[in-house]
Amino acid sequence: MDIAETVLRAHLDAGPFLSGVDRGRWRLLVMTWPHAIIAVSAAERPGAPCEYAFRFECTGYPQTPPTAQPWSESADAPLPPDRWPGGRSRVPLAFNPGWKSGQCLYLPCDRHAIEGHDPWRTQHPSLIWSPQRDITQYLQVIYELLNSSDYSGLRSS
Amino acid sequence: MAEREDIELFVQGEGIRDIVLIKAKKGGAVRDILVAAREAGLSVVEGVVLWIEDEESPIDLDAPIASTQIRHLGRVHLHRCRKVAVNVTFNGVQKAETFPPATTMKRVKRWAVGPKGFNMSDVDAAEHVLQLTGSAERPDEDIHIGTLVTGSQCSVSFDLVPKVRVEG
Repeated sequence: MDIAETVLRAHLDAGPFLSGVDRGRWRLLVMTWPHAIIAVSAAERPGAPCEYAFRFECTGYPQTPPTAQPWSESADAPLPPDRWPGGRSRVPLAFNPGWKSGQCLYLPCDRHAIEGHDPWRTQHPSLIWSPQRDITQYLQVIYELLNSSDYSGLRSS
Repeated sequence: MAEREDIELFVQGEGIRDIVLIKAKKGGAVRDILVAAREAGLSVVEGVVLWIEDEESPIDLDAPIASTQIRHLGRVHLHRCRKVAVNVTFNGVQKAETFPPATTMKRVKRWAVGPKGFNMSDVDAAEHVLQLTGSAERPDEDIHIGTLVTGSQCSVSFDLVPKVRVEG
């Protein structure tokens, strides 16, 4: 087994991730290396789902940051843009299906998003991926956005 | 999965940086949880006492686990500090309060933005976060305040800062 897969599986079975599962903040749906599909709970909004699934691509984990995209569990395919989370300010910037064809989230902790955004390292140091931590640092960022006052429900609503 | 006679507990505490899941004997005394934590590789210093999350008082270490509110998948905290002094600075103004070490960051923030803190509106409160003074670290809402104590002082200082848009 790839060392990165071993580490990720260990992290998915460790306190920080399982604590979030126990709180109902997120849950593992499928693990098929190098992908892990994880559902993250969202605040209740009219017509919106209670959770969104994200497919994390974890090659090189944890030295290399993961990258995540909204995912349709039922279709096992990228989530259609109109089903992405929406909001007023921070949320639509982070969940932007028009950026890089919707293949990642526009967040400093994302492997693809950080490329070419070196100023983020000083502007948003709390959101930069740390290889010393685990996948919950990315999940916490998503969870915070989906449970913020900024989040308004589906992007299409 | 724990065996029938075991319970699993989420442990935080002094010198323990992450939330750690350990197994303990359901039929033992509270003190046995400290032993289980050491066996799980955690650094458990002499003199620690045990709290249940968000409770005001520690649990008697000699009490049988079954006689306490400790349950399977419960959350406990190990620390020598009986209280943690919390200072929060916002716009140059400082507010202070003390909390048991097993208090979650969620509760600390609720105080900081509430009437006894900086009395923010719900909207403003939701768009601010507690950041450890002198660092970029913004502890998650599940983290216990005692986990953030460093050195011999039973205190932690934060800045209350706005969540900013990621753009550029």
